[in-house]
Amino acid sequence: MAQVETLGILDDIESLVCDNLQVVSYKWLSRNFLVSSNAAKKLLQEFVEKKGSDLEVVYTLSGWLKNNPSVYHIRLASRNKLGEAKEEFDDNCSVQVYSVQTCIPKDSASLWNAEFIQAEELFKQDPKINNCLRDNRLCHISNSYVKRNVEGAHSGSTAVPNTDSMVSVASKSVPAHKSASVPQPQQKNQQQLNPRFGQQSSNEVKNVNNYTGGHEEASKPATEREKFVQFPVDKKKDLQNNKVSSGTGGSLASMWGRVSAKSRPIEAPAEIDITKSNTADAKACAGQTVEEGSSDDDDLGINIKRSSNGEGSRKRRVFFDSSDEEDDFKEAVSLASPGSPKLKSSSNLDLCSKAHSGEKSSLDPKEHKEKKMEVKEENNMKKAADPLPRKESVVSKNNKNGIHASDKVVSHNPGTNACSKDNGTSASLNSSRIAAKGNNREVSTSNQIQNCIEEAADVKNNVSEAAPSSPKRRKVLKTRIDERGREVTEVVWEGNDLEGKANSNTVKKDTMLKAGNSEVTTNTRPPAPKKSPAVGLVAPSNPVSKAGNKKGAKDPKQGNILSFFKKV
Amino acid sequence: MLELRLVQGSLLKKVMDSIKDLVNDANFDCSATGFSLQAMDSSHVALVALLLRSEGFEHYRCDRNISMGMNLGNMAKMLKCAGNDDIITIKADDGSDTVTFMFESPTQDKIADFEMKLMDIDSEHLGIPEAEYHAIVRMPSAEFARICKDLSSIGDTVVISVTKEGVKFSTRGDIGTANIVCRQNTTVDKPEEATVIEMNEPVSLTFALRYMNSFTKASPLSSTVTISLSSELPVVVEYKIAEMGYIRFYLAPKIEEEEDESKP
Repeated sequence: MAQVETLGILDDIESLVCDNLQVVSYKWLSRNFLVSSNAAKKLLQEFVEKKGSDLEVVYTLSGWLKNNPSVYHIRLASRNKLGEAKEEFDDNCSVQVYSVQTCIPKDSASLWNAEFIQAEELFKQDPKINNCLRDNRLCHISNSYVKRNVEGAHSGSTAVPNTDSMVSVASKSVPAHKSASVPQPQQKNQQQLNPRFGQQSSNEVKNVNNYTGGHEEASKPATEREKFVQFPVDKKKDLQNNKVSSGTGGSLASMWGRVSAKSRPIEAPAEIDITKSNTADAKACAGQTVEEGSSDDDDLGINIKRSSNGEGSRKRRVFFDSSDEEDDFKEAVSLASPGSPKLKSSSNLDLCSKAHSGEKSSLDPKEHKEKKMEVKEENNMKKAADPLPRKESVVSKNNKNGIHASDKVVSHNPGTNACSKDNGTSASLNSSRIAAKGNNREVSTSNQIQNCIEEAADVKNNVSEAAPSSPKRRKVLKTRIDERGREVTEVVWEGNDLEGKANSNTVKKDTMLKAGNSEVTTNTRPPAPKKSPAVGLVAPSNPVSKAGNKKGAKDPKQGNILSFFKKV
Repeated sequence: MLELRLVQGSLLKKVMDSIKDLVNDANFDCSATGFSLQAMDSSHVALVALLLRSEGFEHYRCDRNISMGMNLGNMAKMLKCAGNDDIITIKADDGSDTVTFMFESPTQDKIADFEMKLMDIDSEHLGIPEAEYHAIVRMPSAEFARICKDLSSIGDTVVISVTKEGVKFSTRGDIGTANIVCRQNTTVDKPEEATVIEMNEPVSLTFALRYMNSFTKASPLSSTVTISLSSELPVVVEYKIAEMGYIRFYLAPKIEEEEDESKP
């Protein structure tokens, strides 16, 4: 029989912990299921052994301290700190499960929050009902000096703790409600209090009504909730509160929870009252509230916390959904010419892009290839022709040579190997140029291509005339991040402002594009990944801006998933 | 004959929303065990692996293994027509070149049928080996999404480094640099808010933020995200789909910036 019950309780614990995310402590357990504290601890222990692997456990350690053997010490420790904590104790300390929960709460107050509410409810019950807290039947420690008056009329001392627990909760949330919540405890002074409240405000009267109506034990949980709900709603002036609290005298004096500085003085009496109280639990409650005096919100109740948390996270999510990111993404796609990944490579720094304004090109890879062929010659011309604006233009020339080599002009190579980095860059440059040319083609503005070539030729001339590091740069890549977080690359031709402007509109490229490049790199891949030298890439390709550099550097550096996973 | 009935239709909508921008076309593979998809993005940098186990469906019938090529954009368009509370049924006959999506409103008073043409897709199915990762970070998905979004406004790439102290996300861009460090944090009100870091050895890898950002579109599917990093492997960004399976994104890292002399 006993075992069957135990099993049921274990299941209950599981659902409480896992589904309701409640902290189940042995105290709560013992009161809730009316088992003795020791039995409750054993139950928890059993539960932890069975299903505790995914849960967090808080243990109670008690014993004599090592460094100060005269002190009997009790402390709580989470599972992973258990060993550590044990070290501080003398050899034989007792270790018991204190509570089980899904995660260690940020605020330790939530460890005893559940049992606090429970204690409060028990105290709220009709005084005629002899519940487990009133007769202290679950406690194994008896105190002959303590006299319990469970038959209705409470002595002053017992009455106080009751209101106390009540009020502290209320006071924590909003001072205004103290007055409302005070009448809840069914005590003698309730009658006195009620008329008083009636005078205050209609609001309060309502509350009082609610609460008085809800006094029956059955409806207690409901009133509990009501409290929480209503707290934020009404706001009363502190002055009023204070008056009330002082007016109601001793028992109300215990409303020290939230009342901040004004009510501080009252704290002391409250504590005294509590210490008079008989039940250990009442003390515990008091202790909690004292501790939390300054951080009242913490204790406000799990419900409130959760809901607010939920809202927070939802907000964020909503943010996602409606964020302009998605828009960006779409736009990016459209800009990126989803058809051919190769085109994307042009993002890097197509020199020619200047030429074809408004060309967002939707090229098929095949077309692209054809164009490649056709454009080869032009490429060569160009490559030779446009030294990117670089400080080390010599190097860049080498690069170009390298590129050519791949196409035709092997003889150009000699200097190429100088900088492996540069090769990498050049490769990417190459492809990007090709792509760009492809674009031209599609526009079928052969004129433009010619322009391109001519320009390139000019550049060549310029370069050859100028010192390698000379500032004569035909084309400048400007990359910036616009207000929507996209990277925008503008190709501006110095001395060719009109065209440059036209291009700047055209050449917006998204960061997306860059990543897209890797496919291009698959063609040119072998060289690309090995061109690790970011520096080399960065410097030559985009002297103008960092972002540009990133772009240039990105593609060749981006790894390919195919190099990690094999086809099946 | 294939018939899959998913009570929580919004789940499929969310799944589609999270991958449709990354992958254009993909084959959905259905077997007795579940409904799965594996696809690379067009540039072969990222890979999506989706699994919805058969147990998660209210009704799951799949007589023989079948692979359905779909344009994800089109599929997403159709699924957009389903309400969030709708029950979605996916149906396909053997040998047919179409798939039918049926949406039933929760009250059963509205039933919609959408038939979509299938397509032939040459997809390369990749074998993904089981691997031990050097570091595994579990954190709230909203937090991760926020970080990626924030960093992408500064730079294009993110360096994710995991050390004993925590996980650091850093980027640099035109306007400056940004570093976000998340420490291990298990003392939270709800388990899904925890940040848990399991580290065997420190890892630091660089990734393109634009991919990370598109991965975070899966955040509505799960409140936590698991990021697994190893220095020689693509990062895995995994979102668990409640009681059904997962969606995993693999992203190849950027090649380290070491000087590599051995160059062809």
